[in-house]
Amino acid sequence: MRNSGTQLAARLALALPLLCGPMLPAHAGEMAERKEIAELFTKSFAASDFSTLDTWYSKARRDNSRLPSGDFRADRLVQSIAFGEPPAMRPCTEFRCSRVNDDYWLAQQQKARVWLGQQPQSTLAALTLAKAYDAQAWEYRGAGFANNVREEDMLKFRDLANQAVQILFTHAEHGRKDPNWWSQLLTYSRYTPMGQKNLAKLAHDALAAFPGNPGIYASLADSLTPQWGGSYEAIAGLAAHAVENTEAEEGQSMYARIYGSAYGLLSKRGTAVFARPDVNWPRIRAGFDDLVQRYPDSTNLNTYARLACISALDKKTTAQLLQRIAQEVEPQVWQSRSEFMRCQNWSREASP
Amino acid sequence: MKLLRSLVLAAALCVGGACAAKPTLLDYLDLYKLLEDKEFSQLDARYAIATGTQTDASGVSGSDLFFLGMQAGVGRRDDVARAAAALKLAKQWVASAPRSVPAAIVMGRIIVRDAPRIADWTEQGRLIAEALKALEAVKESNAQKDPAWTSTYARLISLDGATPSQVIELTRNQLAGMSEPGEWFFEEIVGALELKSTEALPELRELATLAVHRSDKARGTSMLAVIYTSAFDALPALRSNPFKAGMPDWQTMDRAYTDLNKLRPDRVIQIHQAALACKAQDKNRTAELLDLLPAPSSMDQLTWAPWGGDVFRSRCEDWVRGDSMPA
Repeated sequence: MRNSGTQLAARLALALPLLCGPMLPAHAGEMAERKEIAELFTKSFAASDFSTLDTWYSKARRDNSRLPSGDFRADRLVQSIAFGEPPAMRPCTEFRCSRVNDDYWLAQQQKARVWLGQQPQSTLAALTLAKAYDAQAWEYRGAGFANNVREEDMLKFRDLANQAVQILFTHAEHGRKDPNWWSQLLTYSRYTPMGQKNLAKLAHDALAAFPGNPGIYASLADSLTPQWGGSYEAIAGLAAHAVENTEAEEGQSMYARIYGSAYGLLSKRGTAVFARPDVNWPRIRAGFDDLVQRYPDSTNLNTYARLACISALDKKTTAQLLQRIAQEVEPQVWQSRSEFMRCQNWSREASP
Repeated sequence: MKLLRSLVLAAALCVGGACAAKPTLLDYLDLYKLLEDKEFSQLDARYAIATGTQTDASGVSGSDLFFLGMQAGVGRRDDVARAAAALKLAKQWVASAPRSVPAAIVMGRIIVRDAPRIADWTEQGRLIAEALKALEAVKESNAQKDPAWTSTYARLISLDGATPSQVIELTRNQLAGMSEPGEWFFEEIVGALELKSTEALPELRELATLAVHRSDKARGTSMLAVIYTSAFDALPALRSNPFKAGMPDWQTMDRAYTDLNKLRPDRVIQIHQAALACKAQDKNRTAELLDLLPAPSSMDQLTWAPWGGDVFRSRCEDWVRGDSMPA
């Protein structure tokens, strides 16, 4: 009795501030709230407190509640699905040892299955199970170039990613009503043969169902990066299409959001990608101007300033933004203090 | 750190007096104990002796050995308690001997290593300013003759927002007046360029030109290989396209790696050279360089890994045998 009372108290202590999360005004600050949401997932999942997660997620979805940056809180919870670091493998003396701790991933998948067993209609549980397969798949794949991955690791990667897609399809009845189901499906489909074949149709259906969801555009933008067989022109086309679909509510801001999210992949081949002739920086800048007007959050302003500096090499805009940011620097947005200081220093230099 | 690891290995080979005539890192591993015992004047005396030693063919100077020996004692970056203790001791040394060049450099080097991990940017800035002030205080003495003063200063101003062109300007101005810089000096300047964030290829190239100009009589173009090896580590994406616009061509790289290998034969250098030959699709040279490599060891995997690991190496081997497409 005492034990269950303690457990209940612990659950309530964990859940109360977070259950209030989606209803709260934007007072906590973007980064603090992101951290809270990430902890909500990690702690609740570790404690098998699935009902807290389902309740929070359903409410965030129902209310369409947003973070100060304009991101949907529900989307942020799905992006926060994580399983920690697998314990290091024991030393192995065989020729080729597995680098992946399969037992660890099996345990995570098993836990998500228990959740699905308790709540078969929970899309969040299905997304978590699929993510556990996807995360294991990437452990096999690694982050290097595909042609440097061992054949057996690539086969395992594809098999696990395929299972992630299958899990999502198995829960399509409820999942189709959730934009995060679509964005996850589009992401995993990018690297599974079956998914690749149907990617265009899936993209069409996803956008028909949720034409304004940034997560779906972000996933599509990643699929359209050159390293995934796309091109800068294709990303520009998607961004323009996104603005057409969302202009009434979001103005030009979606153009900036799409490039902002694709930057992570685009920058792998060079930081100054927004200075390329096939990237329309003035339009991205206009998108950011609109975004920071609609959501004048310091995270958005810092992101805009950082990209203006390191990616677009736009000295004037960087200077204006850094002046506007003044004391509201968001360290997490910048790679380091030195990067921020360098942008400040550079933007003050006279132009040649 | 690569240089420290190879120096420890080299020093280990000298145990037993085989290399008694020449100081090695082993001779400097007691420095941290002297710092712990606050034997500051002894440390200053040891530094004076160390800086009297010329940079040798291995590209290591007495000053390098002094600061690497001290760094070995400072311990790993993730040993937070030891790092904090080391910084406290270094500050005490600076306070007790504000004109001590090694005190200012040791404190600067600890701050260069540890400050970026401090979450509080105000505290980061305060520490960097403190380290710069200590280095400035010894500027008028012989400090600037020691390349370690300049490299530490460059790392600190870079942490404080100096642009790559400002780092190169400092390096150019200092090079003429300093004693012969070793490999570590140029590796540190590459670090100060913060390539991951700046992708400063023109400045990197300028650094290579300055380095080769400063050292070509004794070292040929080997410093170019040192600088670009360091750049590949700082900006791993460069490895996917190492001869893109702004990078030296393969012939220049090949000559530099050959020069470096002549000065100090090292399988790590040989692997990098073979990997670059393969990337350059120079079939004959790839075959030659792969043939020259000793039998693979598990340590080699660490060097091949950033190029694409076993899969990449096998693809290069298959390609030179005519079995497949180039890597």
